[in-house]
Amino acid sequence: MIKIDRASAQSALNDVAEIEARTVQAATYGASSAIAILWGVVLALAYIMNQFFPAITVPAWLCAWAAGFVGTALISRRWKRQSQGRHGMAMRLVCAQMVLILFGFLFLWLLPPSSPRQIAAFFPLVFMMGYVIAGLWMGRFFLFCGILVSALTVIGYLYSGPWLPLWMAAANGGALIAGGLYLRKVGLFL
Amino acid sequence: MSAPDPVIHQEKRLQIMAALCKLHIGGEIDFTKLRELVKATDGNLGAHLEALERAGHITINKSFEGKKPKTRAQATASGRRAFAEHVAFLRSIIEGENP
Repeated sequence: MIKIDRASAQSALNDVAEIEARTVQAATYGASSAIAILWGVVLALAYIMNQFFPAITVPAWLCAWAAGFVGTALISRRWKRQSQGRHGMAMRLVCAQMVLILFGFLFLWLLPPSSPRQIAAFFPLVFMMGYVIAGLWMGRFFLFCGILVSALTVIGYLYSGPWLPLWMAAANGGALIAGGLYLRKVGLFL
Repeated sequence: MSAPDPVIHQEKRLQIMAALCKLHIGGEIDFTKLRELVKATDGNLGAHLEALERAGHITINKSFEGKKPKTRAQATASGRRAFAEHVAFLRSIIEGENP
């Protein structure tokens, strides 16, 4: 019969808790990778349209958001099926994105912007606020990504002149694509 | 009174079981990811996986993805039970039920 003292038992339980947390984080990263790449591509395309075809900015953004949400919902459904419904995390991501957009519009209604340039920087910052908050629970990647893209957004707003949409395509879209590829590398796929 | 599982009791094997049992039933982790999760070397992880498989706690599936060999592990039902019982035993020590 193995003899285990209280300190060894506590240490073993700590190990179990740490590995379980690491596994959940890796699975979260794996599930988030496709969503990050999807939104990166969609946002980059919308910003490029915004830069070169300003007349169709509003429909381009509506299409981009619709494509992003439908794509996220499809990826979430596949993820839920693969994990036998145990991980509702991806669906919560869809809801979180919708909440951020709704609150974004509420803020814009309360404090109307004076230029389209402000809107171009405003929504990425709202989304990245969500990333930073999510990062406090879901892993450092989201925290780091949120802070980096927010900083790039502010820099672009201040210094990119008429090329702000193109800057945002690279900074916001590009960062999400690069981040998604990184998550694919480190994440766990079930 | 529950008893410790002599196979799962070893530190790395406990970590491997913790990772595999955290997945849904039938969920698998490939060798490379498992190595990163439990921070083990190839040889070390391979030996522990073999021990766990011999005890019936896990199954190991080997396949090829293109030309690359893939090794994936998953916890069996009895492995999940044994892990849960072992963790319950550890908790009982902390709570003073198993001095």
